[in-house]
Amino acid sequence: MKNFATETVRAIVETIHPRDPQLRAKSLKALEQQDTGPLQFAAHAAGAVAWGYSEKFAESFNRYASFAQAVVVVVSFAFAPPQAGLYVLGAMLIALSFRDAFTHHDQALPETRYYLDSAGDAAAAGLFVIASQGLAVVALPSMALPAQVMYRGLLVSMPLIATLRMVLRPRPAPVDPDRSPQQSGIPARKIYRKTRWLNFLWLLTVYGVVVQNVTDKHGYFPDFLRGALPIASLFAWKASQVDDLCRRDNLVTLFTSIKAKTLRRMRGNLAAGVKQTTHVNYSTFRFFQLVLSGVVGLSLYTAVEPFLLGEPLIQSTWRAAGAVLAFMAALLTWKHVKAANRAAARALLEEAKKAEAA
Amino acid sequence: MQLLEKQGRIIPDDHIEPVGDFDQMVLAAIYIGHGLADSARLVNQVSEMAGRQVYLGAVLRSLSGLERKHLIESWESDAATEAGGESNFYYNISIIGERALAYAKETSRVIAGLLGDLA
Repeated sequence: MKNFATETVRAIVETIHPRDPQLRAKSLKALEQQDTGPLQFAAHAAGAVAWGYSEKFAESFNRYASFAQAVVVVVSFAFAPPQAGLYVLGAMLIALSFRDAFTHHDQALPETRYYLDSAGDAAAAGLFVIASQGLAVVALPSMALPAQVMYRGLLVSMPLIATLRMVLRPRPAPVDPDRSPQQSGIPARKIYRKTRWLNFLWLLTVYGVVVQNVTDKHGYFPDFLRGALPIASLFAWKASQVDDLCRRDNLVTLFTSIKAKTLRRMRGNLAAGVKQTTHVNYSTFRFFQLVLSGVVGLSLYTAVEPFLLGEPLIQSTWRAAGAVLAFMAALLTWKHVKAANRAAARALLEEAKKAEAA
Repeated sequence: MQLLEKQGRIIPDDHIEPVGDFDQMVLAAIYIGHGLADSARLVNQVSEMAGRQVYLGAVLRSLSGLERKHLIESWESDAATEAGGESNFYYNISIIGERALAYAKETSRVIAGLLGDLA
């Protein structure tokens, strides 16, 4: 029995139901077959949508992303009264969980879709916080944030949440993750040189973030941490992934391919990546990755702290905006830097094997 | 074989999966449907069994729970063979599901009344 009311309900369900195609098909087909009055149809529709979200909540949960998001929200609203801060944290995490369930997909989507979704997530979380504050002002004034804390907190947290979700959003594995970079026709040595240059540029970006946020406070602990720590942890991070034995292999015979040896040594200079199941250095790799992100995060915090504390806009805005943008750039390029290193290591190894076989 | 059993890949012959009251009714409705039970039919059938209006969400939740326990299987029909020209999802009971239902028949009077010839 199709009429305007049931068609409207169906259209609403189509808009708000989680995107997973299999789940969506099951829900919508089952709903279409319900031959009832509008009120009962609406109850069936609500049940189908609730089922869709309940199926996806656990599947889409990502503990690292949730932890990182919680840290961002806590820091962004750190200067709010405790209960109001907790209320905002709850509102934001609930909104993001719903977005996770809504967008979670088992099939690979175009890259741009992930970026759009991540921006949409941050916007939805922001809207949810504003709506929850509207409710708090009417029903629970003690839970409402001071206006300045809310606007400044949102301005800092929204771009950061979008960035974190771009980096940490679970994605299905690409169709052929081990596709050889040799197929692109670029020589391995050229990929190696470009990758080393990329690593240097990335480190320069990190130091840019660090340098622009050094304070003039005497004995300030974050300043103490920011000297050699980024470069030392980047080298330790790289060292945890390097095959050091190839660099000590000095034995040359008549049948040794010097070219292959050189290529293998070049590979030893790159962060070739480690696997949890096969490499003993995996925990070291994870630790230094965490230290690196911690250093960048610390720089960001010192830059946005005056803005969040309520310093006049003219003094604090540009510094905070610059730090947020630099943090976004460092974090978003990090994944590509890692991928470039791994691709270059694969290309060098393949070319070395070819040289050995020749 | 022992390793597979330990990993839960082989279900022993005497294993009976515990099923809740509502799930028992859904399982019975699927059994009665003989492989042609879609969710709309299941909603009506379970509503009749329960003697109250049952909503789609509850049935879908029960179906996915039963499917996860491998008590039922779902399959999507070919659109060309359907009357409306659109594919549909149907549910079928598995052997473990039949075993669980036979056990439910012994323990529940409501289910026993519905399933005359089972086990």
